[in-house]
Amino acid sequence: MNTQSIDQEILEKIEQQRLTMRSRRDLAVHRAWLIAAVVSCALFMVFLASFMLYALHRTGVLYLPLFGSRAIAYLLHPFSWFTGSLFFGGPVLVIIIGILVGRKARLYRMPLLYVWLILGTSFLAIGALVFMSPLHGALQSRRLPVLGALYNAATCSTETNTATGIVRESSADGFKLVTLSKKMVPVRLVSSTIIERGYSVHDNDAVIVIGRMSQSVLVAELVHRSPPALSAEEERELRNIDLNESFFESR
Amino acid sequence: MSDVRSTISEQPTDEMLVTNVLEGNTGMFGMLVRRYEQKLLRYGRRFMSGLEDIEDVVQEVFLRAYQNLRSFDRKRRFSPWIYRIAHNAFVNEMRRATRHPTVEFNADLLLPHRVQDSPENDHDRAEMREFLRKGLDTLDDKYREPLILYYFEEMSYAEISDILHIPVSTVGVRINRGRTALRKILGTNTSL
Repeated sequence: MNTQSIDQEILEKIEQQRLTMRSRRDLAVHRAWLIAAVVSCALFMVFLASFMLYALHRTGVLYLPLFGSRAIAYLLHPFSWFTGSLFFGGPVLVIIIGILVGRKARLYRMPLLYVWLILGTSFLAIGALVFMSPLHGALQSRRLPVLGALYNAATCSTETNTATGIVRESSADGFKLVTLSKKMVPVRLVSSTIIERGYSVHDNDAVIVIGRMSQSVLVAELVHRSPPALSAEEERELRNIDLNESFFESR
Repeated sequence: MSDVRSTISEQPTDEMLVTNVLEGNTGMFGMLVRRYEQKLLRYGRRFMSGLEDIEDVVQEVFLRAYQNLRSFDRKRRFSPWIYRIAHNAFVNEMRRATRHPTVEFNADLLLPHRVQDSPENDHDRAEMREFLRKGLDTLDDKYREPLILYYFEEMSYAEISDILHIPVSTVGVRINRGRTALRKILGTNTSL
């Protein structure tokens, strides 16, 4: 091809209407899609971040640092598949949002790590605000068809390793724990069990227990008074459950 | 001399031409094509050495530029915008020709780098261009393109960042590493 003819060829195409600019409407629709995609992803990320905090709060994992350095090892251990997937899925979404926003906002000029940290921290901060609002509590209490199951999966499935609930029938070698999902988990205290300094286990106390399941008994490794994972109403409800009720056994 | 100066200063900028085209004076697009035709051909030949049909790819770049002209942000400079379109077209062409995907993610995109941009005088730059002409083909793609844009197309780090969509500090580190690699390849002791 003769390179000098490129401009002539293009102008000819323009004149003959074989080459046209994308219309303003086209561009506006494209922009609207992009904005909608970014906003949807961002809203989902905020929900995910707040939900993650809520799930960690309900299962007590959020309060593991209260146990000191020993509990660090448990931070990842007691995650349910659901919470785990949130942890891995979250960063993937952050990366996707970074790519979407980056094109317009010149985010690509910054190192990727900075972009991810800025976006991740922003989502976590906004998510923390949403977590402190009554949104998740209200959604869970409504027992909605799909969301309800999701809430249960995320907040009640870690009892093989951690359990938060009310102490009942305590004795020197253990107690029964009535958990958030209204299950009764026998807890055994052993010589290596670490109990929060200055605390001795009493009936009706709200506690968080970390341990390992052995023959349907949770052998406690760490016991701590429960942080505010239980609402006053829930505590009251769990305290009033009759341990001899047949429905309780069947759960 | 003064006439020449005034002619140069009266030349409409690229952005003015774009405004004209968008206002309906489509013939002005021909002027933009003439301004960038040789530059993009040169860029393409260096970037995709060994590949034929570069003229066709460059023509495709102008077609795409015209089609998407309304999406050009007139507060920004036109040249990085059209080079970005050219970069994408060249990368696609290379993918098509070599039939293997080009990996665009590299670890150097992740972390910030401290780049010491040592000032170069005209002589140093000319010397570097000469080295690049000799050894450009032997360089890795990820070093070759920033070096071409920096030394031959005379783009700033920020403009290269806009064209390649990589962090500014990564541009700097790739240019430095490219220079070092070139020095090794050519086996020269000259300080590049």
